[in-house]
Amino acid sequence: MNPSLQSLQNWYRNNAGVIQGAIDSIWAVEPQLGHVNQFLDERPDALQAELDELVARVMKLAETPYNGSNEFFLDVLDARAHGAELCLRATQSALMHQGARGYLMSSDVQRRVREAHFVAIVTPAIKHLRKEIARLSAEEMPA
Amino acid sequence: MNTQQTLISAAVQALAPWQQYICHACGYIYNEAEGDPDSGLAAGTRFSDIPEDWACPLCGVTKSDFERYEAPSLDALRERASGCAPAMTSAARHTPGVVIVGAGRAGWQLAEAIRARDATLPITLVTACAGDVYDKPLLSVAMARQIAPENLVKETGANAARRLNVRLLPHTHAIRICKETQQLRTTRGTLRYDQLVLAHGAQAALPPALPAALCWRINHLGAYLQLRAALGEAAATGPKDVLIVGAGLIGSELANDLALGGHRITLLDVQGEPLARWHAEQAGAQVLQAWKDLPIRFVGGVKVARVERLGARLRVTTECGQHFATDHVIAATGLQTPSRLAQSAGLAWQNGIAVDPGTLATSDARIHAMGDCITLDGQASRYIEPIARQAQTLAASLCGCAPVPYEARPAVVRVKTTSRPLTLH
Repeated sequence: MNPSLQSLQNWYRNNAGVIQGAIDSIWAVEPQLGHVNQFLDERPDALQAELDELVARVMKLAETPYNGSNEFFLDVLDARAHGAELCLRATQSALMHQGARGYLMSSDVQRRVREAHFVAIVTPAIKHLRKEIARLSAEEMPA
Repeated sequence: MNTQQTLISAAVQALAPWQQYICHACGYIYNEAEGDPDSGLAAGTRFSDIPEDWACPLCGVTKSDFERYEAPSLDALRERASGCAPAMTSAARHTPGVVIVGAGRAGWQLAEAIRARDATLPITLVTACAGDVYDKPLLSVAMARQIAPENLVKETGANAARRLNVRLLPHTHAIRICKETQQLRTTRGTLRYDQLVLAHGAQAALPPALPAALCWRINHLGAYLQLRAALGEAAATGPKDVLIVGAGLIGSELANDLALGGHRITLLDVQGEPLARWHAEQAGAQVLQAWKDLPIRFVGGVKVARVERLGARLRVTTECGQHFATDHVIAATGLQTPSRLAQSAGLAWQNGIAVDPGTLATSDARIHAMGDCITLDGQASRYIEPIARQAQTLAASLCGCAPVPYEARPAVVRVKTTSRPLTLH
């Protein structure tokens, strides 16, 4: 099986949860803070839609793990990069929504912010994924 | 080595300036002056004296993953960074505006046409190349007209972007369209768009017998400049043998121009004559007549079976068993539209991105397409003339002006074989 796809599945197991947890913690404070939270850039319904679309795409990729084509591999790398980016945005957004209570050391909201950065920086980090995507996308020419 | 020699070499080494070595994996820099005391390497430990089982203190890879490091100057780094801006800026987060994929003639013409109507609409141009502005037809006549390769660029991408107030993302690959969230995912970040225009053109359709690593394809300036550098000047480094597969428009024009540049050309085609599409107009017979004093050998009715490296040269074998030895192979075997972006958005596809003949709209209301990547009723028309009119149609619609319907016209083809220019219908 495509080793990168395996890592994508691991990623999915570990980190779709980070994103979903962040979205859930936004909804958790919606009753009391919705009146101010409506002014924030990212809102939970849009984040949820983006996560659902991404998860559906990962599941689709997982149907053909033995596809060895360049195009398939690009899709795998891009899905992983997308997940890491969404982790960062969703967890930061959760902290913005929760405010001070999410900032407390004891809060799961700040812990997810740190975890999201782990997803984004651990090799292959977002930058490594993009570099590899660029390398695979470049036209091959005689040396 | 005797003791005295050892002492001398140790003394010489001690006098040499401290070097730095960088870890490929994580970017940690080992500085000989400082050593790595945590791992037991005293300050002043030369890299060569580090035991082989030493590991990078940051990421754990081995000594062999390190290489010499000389810190580049800050000015050089600033220069390099200015050429590749990140996708996200605070302004762009709020009004995404128009995002154009492709900075060939189509992309730039559209940017010009939008600016002529609207001074403030945000425009972002994403391109895998440098984004420099040039006239592609000149690639077919540069040698005949003695245009030095460095003079083919009319305006650098950076200057054009400044003049038109366009945000240019050069050397950036567009990877996926997320149409639900109106985002374009690229290798320099994710862009939001109100309107997306695909103007990324077509690329060479390489038959399996022609491996990409051995065959040039000349469909943009970058590849052309690489080819010219590899060929060298015939007057200075001697003429090269160039074998061109495909004697259509591009193949015939390149054969003509490279021959005028002093190189020896072999031109192959599956048809019995060049420009066979225009057989009724006797195009092939006319160019062959014009080429009789040029170093061009046309071999018709052959199909390439394989290309292989043979020492410093290449060997091309046809299905009928003929061999050709050559320095370079150029594939001019036709074009196809890359499907990645269109597919990621589920756009209607018909041999290319299917667009409405009057509005150039794709099957997604927020995505239009123009230039070499589109088809009208399944037909591509990869010529220069329609592009300016397509740009006017799209600019009018993107800026909310009165519609300027696009009108497909039969293409008049000017064959830039300078030794016998032809106009074909």
